[in-house]
Amino acid sequence: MMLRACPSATRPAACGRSSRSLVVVRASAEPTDSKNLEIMRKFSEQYAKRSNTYFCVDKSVTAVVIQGLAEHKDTLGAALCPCRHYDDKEAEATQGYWNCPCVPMRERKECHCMLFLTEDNDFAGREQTISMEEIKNGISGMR
Amino acid sequence: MLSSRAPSHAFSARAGRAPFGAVRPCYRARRQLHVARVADVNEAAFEEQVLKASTPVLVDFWAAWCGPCKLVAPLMDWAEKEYGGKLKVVKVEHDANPALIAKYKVYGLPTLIVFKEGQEVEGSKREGAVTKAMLQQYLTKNGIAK
Repeated sequence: MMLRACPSATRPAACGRSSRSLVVVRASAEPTDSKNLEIMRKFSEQYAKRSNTYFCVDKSVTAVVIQGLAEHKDTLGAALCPCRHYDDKEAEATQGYWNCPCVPMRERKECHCMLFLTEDNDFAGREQTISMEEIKNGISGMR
Repeated sequence: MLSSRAPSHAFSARAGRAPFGAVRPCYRARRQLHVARVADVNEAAFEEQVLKASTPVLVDFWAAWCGPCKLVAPLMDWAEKEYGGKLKVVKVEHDANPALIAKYKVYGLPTLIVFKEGQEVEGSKREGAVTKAMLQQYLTKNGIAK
């Protein structure tokens, strides 16, 4: 949620140096596609459990990656890994190698996004769940 | 070109004892905000800021929704402060700077590269998140001492 100070009709006209101007602060939520964010949140929980992997001890890392996956799902129709550069994103999304869960994750449990961490990873926490509130807290301030 | 190769994942499960230094901090009670203090550099400024810099430069290639990039960001601020005038640290956002990405063959993010005297230090390209201890070792290995 972002707070913005808005010039408002309620702000009185200036009437001398000693007057205080009234600033109206309106709270507005940043637009998000909550449907894909929820889809990727659920997918992440299910896949972590299925693959016996865990979320990062710092869940804001998890939140950021889930948001990145959701954005790619919005724009490309596929959850392309957000931690890589691609010369042609559309082609990569069609080809599928880097669509989450990517081939390295499926074959070797290697997730360099640090979304799915094996138990022995120093950054692994103990959790395989993340709430929508945790996601929104983790990504706040980054948009 | 489609990238079909496996990532060279620099992060090893055995590397480092704890993230962010000796004590593993508790993240539950506070919100992590991405506050970048090191400068973001683009293609237009890269030559001046990096290749013509009088000190070695650590370049952090990053992406907006890359979790490990966010993890590493405070370490970049730390490194710039810790190494004083002996090291400059800059960040390059990948989407906005495709020419740099192509020139230095950056694929996985984050990627760290050290530049000295206008050249990429051979072997300094490193993909993936690092702990503070790993970063210090990496900088020492690439000829940067405090």
